[in-house]
Amino acid sequence: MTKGYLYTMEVLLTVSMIFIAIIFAFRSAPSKPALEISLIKRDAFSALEYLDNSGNLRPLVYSGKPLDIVEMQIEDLLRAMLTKKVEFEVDICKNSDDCTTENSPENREVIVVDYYLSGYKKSYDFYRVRMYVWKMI
Amino acid sequence: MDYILAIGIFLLMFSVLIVFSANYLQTMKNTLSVSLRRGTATDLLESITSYDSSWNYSNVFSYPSKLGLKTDMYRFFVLVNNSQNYLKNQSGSLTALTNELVEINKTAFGFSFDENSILILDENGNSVGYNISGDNIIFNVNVSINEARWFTVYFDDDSNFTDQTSFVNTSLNNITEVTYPLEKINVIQYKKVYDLNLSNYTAMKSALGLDYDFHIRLYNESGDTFLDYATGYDQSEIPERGNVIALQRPIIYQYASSWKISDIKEGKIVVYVFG
Repeated sequence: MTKGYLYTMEVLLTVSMIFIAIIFAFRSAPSKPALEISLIKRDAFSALEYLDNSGNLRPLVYSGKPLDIVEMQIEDLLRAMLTKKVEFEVDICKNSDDCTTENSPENREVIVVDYYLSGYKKSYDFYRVRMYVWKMI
Repeated sequence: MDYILAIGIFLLMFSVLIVFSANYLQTMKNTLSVSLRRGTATDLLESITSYDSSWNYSNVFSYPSKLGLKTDMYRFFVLVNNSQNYLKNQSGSLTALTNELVEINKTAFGFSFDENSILILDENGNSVGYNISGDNIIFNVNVSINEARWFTVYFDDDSNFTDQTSFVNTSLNNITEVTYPLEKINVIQYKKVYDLNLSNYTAMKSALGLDYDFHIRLYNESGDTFLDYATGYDQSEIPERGNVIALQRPIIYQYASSWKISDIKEGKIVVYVFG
């Protein structure tokens, strides 16, 4: 009986070692391909560039409407173009230090993309359209 | 009894180890496969939406290492304002104008371009006929009293569209129109899409240095396909099983019919990588 008990203990010890081996072997299991930061940044810039090239961005920015309304309109246009796996916030700044980060999360990795506009039709005012993008959990 | 229990537990754990190992290796393989295809799809999409020097679809040795379907187009706005301040004769009275002449000096751009690529759109997106007179691009507009009309003029510097000029009445020129600075925009070029469509898939795949099969689709605003570039003749062929990576991006493209440009449209490009 004592011998059998010892064998059982040995097996349990072996099992524990196998468990430890498994934990060590698979602790860095391959992660599924995720949205990479560089891709997100590229897509965000492409989306802004597309809006500009298609003639939708400048009429909004230079419309004279309050910038927070314009920002929401631009966000609606961008939402149709970007993957649902990211969240974003648009901020339009007239001066270089006008942009705020108040609506972007503080505890996440946030990607910042800037797109500069130098004028539209009669206006030669400078604007910076800034996008804060972060991955959804 | 103890032996049997011990052997049972050991076999159970050994099986777990085997299953874990098999899953791990399978996941590794699958992840690697997806990553490689994703990398290829990303590179291909970048390659398509980049610029490239010219190549000829009939000469496989000229095929590019980057597809480069984009081109630079230029656009500027023209304001035709039928109000007192804009009258050439400041003491004249305002009247509704029919076939008012608009003249734009093309030498002011400072570089040569394909004059057949000129596209003039009014504020509603309707195409306006134009002609070339000496150094001027000319077209007619109808404008009411105190009405301000905006036109957008596009042109390309390296396209090969055919002539589509039309008659322009030059008898009435009452208003000083205002032109605004050029903007450069990038669009998918008609000529390059045409060339790609006629190119040899296998030779192109080799020139691009791709290890996987790919499929390129360009869609118009309505979601209809206007380019379907793929292996062989079965252009709908995208495998329903296996790792297929698809990436898409919105595009602006030159819309033309029989080499006559008629619009700048919005659409999207989708790239599939598989095999």
